Amino acid sequence: MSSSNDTSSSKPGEKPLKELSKQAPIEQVQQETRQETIQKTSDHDDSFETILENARHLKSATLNDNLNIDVTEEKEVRETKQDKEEEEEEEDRDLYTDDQSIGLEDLPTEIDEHWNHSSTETMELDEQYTTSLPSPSFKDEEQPNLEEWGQLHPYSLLINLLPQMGRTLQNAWPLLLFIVVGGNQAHQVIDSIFVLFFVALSVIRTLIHFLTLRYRVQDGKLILKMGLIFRQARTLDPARIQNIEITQNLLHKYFDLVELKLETAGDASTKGLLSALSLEDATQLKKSLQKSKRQQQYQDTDHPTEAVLSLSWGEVLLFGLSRRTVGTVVVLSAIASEALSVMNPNDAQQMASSLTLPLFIGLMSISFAFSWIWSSIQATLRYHKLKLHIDSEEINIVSGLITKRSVEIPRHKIQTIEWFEPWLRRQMGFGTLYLETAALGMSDGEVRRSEGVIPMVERQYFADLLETIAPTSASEILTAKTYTPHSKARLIIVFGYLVPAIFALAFAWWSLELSPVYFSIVAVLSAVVVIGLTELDFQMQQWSITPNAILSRSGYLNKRTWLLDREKIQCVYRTEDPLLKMLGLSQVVLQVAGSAVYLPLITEHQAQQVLHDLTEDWTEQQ
Amino acid sequence: MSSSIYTPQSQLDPNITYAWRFGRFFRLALVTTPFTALSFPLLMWMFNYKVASLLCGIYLTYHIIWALLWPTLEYHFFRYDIRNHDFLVQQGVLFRRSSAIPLHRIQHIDTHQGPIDRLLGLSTLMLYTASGVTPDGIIPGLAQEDAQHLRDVLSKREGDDGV
Repeated sequence: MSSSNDTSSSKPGEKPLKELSKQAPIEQVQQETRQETIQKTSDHDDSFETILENARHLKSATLNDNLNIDVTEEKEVRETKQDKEEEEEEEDRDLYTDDQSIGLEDLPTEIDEHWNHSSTETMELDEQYTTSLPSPSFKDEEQPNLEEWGQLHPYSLLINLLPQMGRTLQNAWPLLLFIVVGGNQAHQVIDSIFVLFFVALSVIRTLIHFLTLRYRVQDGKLILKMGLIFRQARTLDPARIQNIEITQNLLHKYFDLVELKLETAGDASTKGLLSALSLEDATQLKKSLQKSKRQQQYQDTDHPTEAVLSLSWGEVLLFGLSRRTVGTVVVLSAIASEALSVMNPNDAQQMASSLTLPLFIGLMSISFAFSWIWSSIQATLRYHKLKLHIDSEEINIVSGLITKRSVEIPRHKIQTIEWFEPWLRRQMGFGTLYLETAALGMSDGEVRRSEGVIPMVERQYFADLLETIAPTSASEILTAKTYTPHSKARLIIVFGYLVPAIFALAFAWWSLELSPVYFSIVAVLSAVVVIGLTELDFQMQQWSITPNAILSRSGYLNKRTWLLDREKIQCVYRTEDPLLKMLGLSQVVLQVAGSAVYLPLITEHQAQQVLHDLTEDWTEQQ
Repeated sequence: MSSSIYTPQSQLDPNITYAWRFGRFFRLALVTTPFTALSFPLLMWMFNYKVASLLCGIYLTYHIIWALLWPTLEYHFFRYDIRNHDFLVQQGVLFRRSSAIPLHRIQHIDTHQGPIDRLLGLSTLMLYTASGVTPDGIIPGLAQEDAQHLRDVLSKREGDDGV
């Protein structure tokens, strides 16, 4: 990563890029040059990877152009820009008052509620905005202008229809189930009308989404407007964007479109989602946002940065294999056996009596195999051909088999880094790296753990990778002296293993009907396992604090190491409950935006010292 | 680095115990007692007279202690201080918690006043950082002028949110 070091050094005597980029005429020049390059590149090859790489090309080209412009022109440019802005404003006003073309005002209000669920975000719009929608500026293909209102690509109607139907189904599935399953022959007509109604609802929603969503870039900020009855305007400040994700599924690929998602700190509803944009529009929008975000002078190398890390299909497969643990299978088979016995007690009895050891082992291996195959498929779909690029500003992860994803995370937005080594993966010499920002994203209906996931990193390569991602804190924290938790911490750790063990024993007692001798053997064995795991876990726990960073490590079966820059700490606290108080222990928690890092249990005095040291930091940051 | 551990000294306004007591007795009268009265026959039917009276007795005693004795203890253990770079809070009787919030990380400050607080001339100050949606520091009983003064002092500071 010698290139990244070069890029961060700034040329003396030139104005910061941010100021230069605001000037309108320069913008136009850039756009023309960009456009030329886009046309050139899009002619011969349009696979996702090449386009992304071209985008990187483009970024560097335009930025270099930018830097070559003489700074003395700045004043003149600013004046002309002001004039131009005034003109533009007048034009805009005309557009707002004249255009009344979209007249779907008399639709039921429920329709709109769906994408206005984040009503707290809704801002009062200016009168000129609320009276009518701005006219969608159908940009001529030659020169997309981000300062004008843009809209989604018309094919978004097709692309959004299926997900929209899915969401509608999700919201109304009990009703639909009742209709489809519960209805008898006589009501078939009514049933089909209901189903048709739901389909129509989805279609109308998609249509309204397409017709009302507008976006533009103004003063370097992205402005999104949407909604028909409950109108919503959202301004996204590039400096606040935590990560940018470009996704392309099969439908997108067919129409040569992409989905652009911008995430900011806080809950998932604050994100900006543009579900179907042409690739040129998306890359240009992304670039213009990144450009105005950069505080320092930025100069990229002429060639796209080499991938720091790329995963082979074998590694992805191994990731999938090591993801499902023994625990999942045990829990699943326990649930299955319970369900069986509830459904038909006689059959279950019969099965239990005919269950021999070979049969049992066979069944278990089949369930293991299924679980592994399933998770391998999932891993391959998500992480196929993963490539990690790192430049001086951003971390870029591209992956995916059918749905291609490219996630960009600004390096200074990373809050915590988690190095996760579950037992099996550790034996293979690998670990997973999670890069956590302040954004609390949702994916597939659950809170997503991390924005940046690098699923398989060889352990020996981890230190180097960390060095490139977080240079300030990494070099010292990995070599720093580590401390162990207090020896009495074992008494707290043991609870974590004791509770599931007791549950398992209770299950064994009630359902397997073991003889007392067998049961006591099982109980003793599990006690040994619990004590052993507690000791191993205790041995693994470590923490260390250096002038810049903090490390906390825990877990034997699921070993996790958290790394944290001291500058990112929002607040710290120390808790004691009666049990900890009795043992003389304290729990220290370090809060960062979006998550918290827990230190291992240490003595009260140590905890006080840690808090004291951390607060001493803040006197300097005054 | 000086090794002396600083413990905060400032205490809340003594009137806060009345506010806490009032609120908890209100709850005792409206929620806890009716709930106990209703569940007593149920427990008697499920177990017997002794078990029912024992369980209900424990439940009621817990709530009476919580309403009568606890506010004094809580008041005694609640300490806070504002130093020139951070804000310290120490609280809790059995479950103790001491937290430190750097002033440059404070995002915004709320003052909150309920009807009883208003009668007693108290205010609650809530400090928020970028770490989450819940306030990271809460000082429940401050004389109204103090709260406003604190809010003004703290909100004048400029900081970097680190997000």
